[in-house]
Amino acid sequence: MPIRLPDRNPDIVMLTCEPATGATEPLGDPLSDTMDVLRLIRRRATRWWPAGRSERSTHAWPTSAAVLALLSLLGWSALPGGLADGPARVLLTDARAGTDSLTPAVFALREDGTAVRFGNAELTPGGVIRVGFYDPLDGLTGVATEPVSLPADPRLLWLLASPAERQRLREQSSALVLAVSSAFVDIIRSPQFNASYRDRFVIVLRSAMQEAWQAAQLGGAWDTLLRSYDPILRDVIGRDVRPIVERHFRDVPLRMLRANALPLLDPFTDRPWDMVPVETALREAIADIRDHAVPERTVMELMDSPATVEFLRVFQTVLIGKLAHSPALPGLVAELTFDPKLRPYLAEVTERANDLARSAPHLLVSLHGSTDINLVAATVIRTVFSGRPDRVVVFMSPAQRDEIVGLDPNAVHLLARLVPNGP
Amino acid sequence: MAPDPRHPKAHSLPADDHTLVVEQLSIVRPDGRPLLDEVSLRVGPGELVLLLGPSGCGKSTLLLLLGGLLEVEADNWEVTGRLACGDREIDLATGHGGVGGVVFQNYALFDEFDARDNLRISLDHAPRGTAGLSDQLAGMLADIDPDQSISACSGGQRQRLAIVRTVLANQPVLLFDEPNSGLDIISSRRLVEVIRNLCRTMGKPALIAVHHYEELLPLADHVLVMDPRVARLVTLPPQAEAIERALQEAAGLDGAPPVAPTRPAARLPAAPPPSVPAPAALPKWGLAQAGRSRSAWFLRYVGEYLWLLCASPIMLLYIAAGAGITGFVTIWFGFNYYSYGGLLKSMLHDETVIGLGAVQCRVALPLICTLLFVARNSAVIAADVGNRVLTQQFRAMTNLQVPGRSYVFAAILSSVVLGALALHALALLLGAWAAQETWHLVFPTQYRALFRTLYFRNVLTPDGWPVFSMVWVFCKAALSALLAGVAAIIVALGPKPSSQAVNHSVANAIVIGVIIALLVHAGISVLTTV
Repeated sequence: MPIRLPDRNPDIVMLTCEPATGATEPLGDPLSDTMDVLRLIRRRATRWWPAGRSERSTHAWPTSAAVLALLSLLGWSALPGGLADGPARVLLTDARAGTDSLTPAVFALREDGTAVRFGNAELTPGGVIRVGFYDPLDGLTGVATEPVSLPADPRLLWLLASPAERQRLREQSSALVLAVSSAFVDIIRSPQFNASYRDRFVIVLRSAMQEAWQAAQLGGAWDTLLRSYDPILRDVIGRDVRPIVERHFRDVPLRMLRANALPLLDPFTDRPWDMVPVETALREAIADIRDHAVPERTVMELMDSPATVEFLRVFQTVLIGKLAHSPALPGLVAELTFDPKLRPYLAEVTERANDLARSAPHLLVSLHGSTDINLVAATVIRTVFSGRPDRVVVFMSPAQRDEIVGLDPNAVHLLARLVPNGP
Repeated sequence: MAPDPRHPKAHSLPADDHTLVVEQLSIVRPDGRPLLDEVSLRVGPGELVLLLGPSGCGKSTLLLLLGGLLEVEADNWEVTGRLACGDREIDLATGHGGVGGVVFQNYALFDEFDARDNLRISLDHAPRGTAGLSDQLAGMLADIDPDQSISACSGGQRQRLAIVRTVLANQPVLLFDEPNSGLDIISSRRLVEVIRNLCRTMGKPALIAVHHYEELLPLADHVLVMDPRVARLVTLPPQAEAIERALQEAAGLDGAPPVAPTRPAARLPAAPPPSVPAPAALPKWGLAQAGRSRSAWFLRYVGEYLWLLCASPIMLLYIAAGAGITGFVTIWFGFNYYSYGGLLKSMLHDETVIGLGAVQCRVALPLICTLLFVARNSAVIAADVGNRVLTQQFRAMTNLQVPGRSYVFAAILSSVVLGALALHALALLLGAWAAQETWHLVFPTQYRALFRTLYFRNVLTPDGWPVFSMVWVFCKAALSALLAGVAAIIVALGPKPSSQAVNHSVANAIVIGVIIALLVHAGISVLTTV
């Protein structure tokens, strides 16, 4: 059967055959209909999505320009703008500003207490903080209206934690401290400690105390202390001791005369003086002084004196330094800590410490219930590692500000606005 | 050749000197076998001569030589002799060039242009004094829409366009290579009548290389039969029996009875007269208007290749898809597969975004974009140039005195460089956008502006300008595109005996282009970071 080409356009050539009846029917290719449909779709599509020069239509360049414009707009929207220099900036001042630097991150607290990066801050040489917001039209700008400056250290995590989180941390910290105290007492009293560690600790402590005492004496702290006690003792003697002594020695001369009348009248006899009245008065005076707790009160007064406090501070500092530099103590502590015999005493401490270690990062550093990231924690950790005393600007509601100020008034710096066009 | 008494009109032709003269022509094939040995011939003005011979005897080679298209030195041909027509005289042993406009067997029309511009480019590059579109030529185009694309033209329309295009080039001689191939007898005869009228009207000789000559004999003035056994041209009158006998001998079939023509020429049905010029044909082609300059034609090619290589919607979406997927994958997998979970994700978030931004903008997106760009465009360039070679479009351009290679290659290379720079900028923007949206998908409570300030930290200055190192990114893109484009052109310019060779050159161009792009990216990246 002859094969004919029904259409001169090569795009829609379809092989057909002419049967004996003369009618024209497609060849028996099961894919031919599908191919025809696909070709039709392609031809229609290429009117709008021309790819090659032979398929280009009058829509070609406008279509391409439209696609290019759309793609360029999408891409352009991803370019950053100058936030701190932009129209949405706000200028702040910190009346309590010190020498601390400022992190560029600016946060805002949502109503649920979670913090979100909200913009960038820049500290100008004149001390003015220039803040640009990521989205000045966001609803959070109407809620977080109060700017404060907070230290970018772990205190920030504590301050920005929710009340429930802070309460939970308090409880777990208290439990750990109690466990440590209890374990310490139990260990000190344990036979294992007495058998293996007590004497060695005593030797170390005694040696350290002797060295610290000598160092404190050599440093003049002892002499200073003694000189400072003189007015205190004078005062105690004049105020507490003297009335008692006077009261008890008021009759002593008369009683001495009565007891020693003979030796007084007979100067040629060699009889010793009867000192019993004096001894009696002295004994009674001392008893009276004890009865009035004068020594205890005097000691307490001495101990409460600033000179004693200063001496003890010096002594304690030197003692800790000596202990820290003691060559024997670290090994002894390590041996004590890892001694299997003492491990039962530390079980609770370990459990409480693990509880705190598990929950503290979760509460302070992790996500605060959010689904993504905690950039406050990241800022704090970065600042801690950098070693700089940075501060960070946080916007919050008035109620949140008051709560945080109540937690740590010294840490919170209230910032004042210089221009009123901020959130 | 003496005038044929059967065509008295030949005596009334203008007495200009459009006689084709070939003297002592010798052609030796690259393999050393002689094609022609000291052959001389003369074709007078207005004469129509058929060139016959067995397949592979060298008819097309002779036409290419007369048209100045035989690449003698490149292909190791040995040619001696003298060629003259009009005021042109060429020593073929030392000189180059030709005297004839060739109408190729496959027409060699320029697919990138419509019908009008296929003629316009010929007219604009023709020597000064070209008459333009005469009534007779316009009549040949009566059924063709000037705005019609070449792919929408029928075979006959393409053939007439090719003839008119060659005539407009105003060469002294008209040369036709198998013009009746694929035509029925009536169309074939009508075509030759058109050719005959043309060459008579213009007073130019015409040489037609054909296999199927029977229906053309009544219109021919003489016949030349190439005899490959003796490397000679035999001049015969247009008589079928003598020609058949000569062809039998030339084919080495001596002694065989001559084969009678299938249909005597005298009994052929009368062909319709040549098309009458339509009154509206001339104005609608607009060829009388001032032509375009060479710069305008070059810009036209630049526009064509900018579209083809860079600006088509499918190309834009292709690059956009590559950039978008790169941006998505980098951020999605970068944040969703953190080994240490949410805590470390919070701590390292800023540095991760900064690092991913730098890696994406400096390495990942440029590399992906370059590979996509180079792979696709190497294929396009190799296919485009390869098809021009296969369909002899470059030869046609040369024959039309169009600096085709300069136009095409300069347009391709300038387009790929400009396109690479523009598309890389677009890819960087779209990759950033895709990364931003992916990041917002991962961290829905955060502001997008946070991502932007971090992502571009190492890419843009605080003033919003690219950092200096981004210059190297665009250097990589431009250099990769340029070198891959050059490689694709070189690969595609090789011999193309078939469409399969074009396919192979496409595959090779992709591989070579991608390797070049990888090497350029690696080299510049290493050199600029040392």
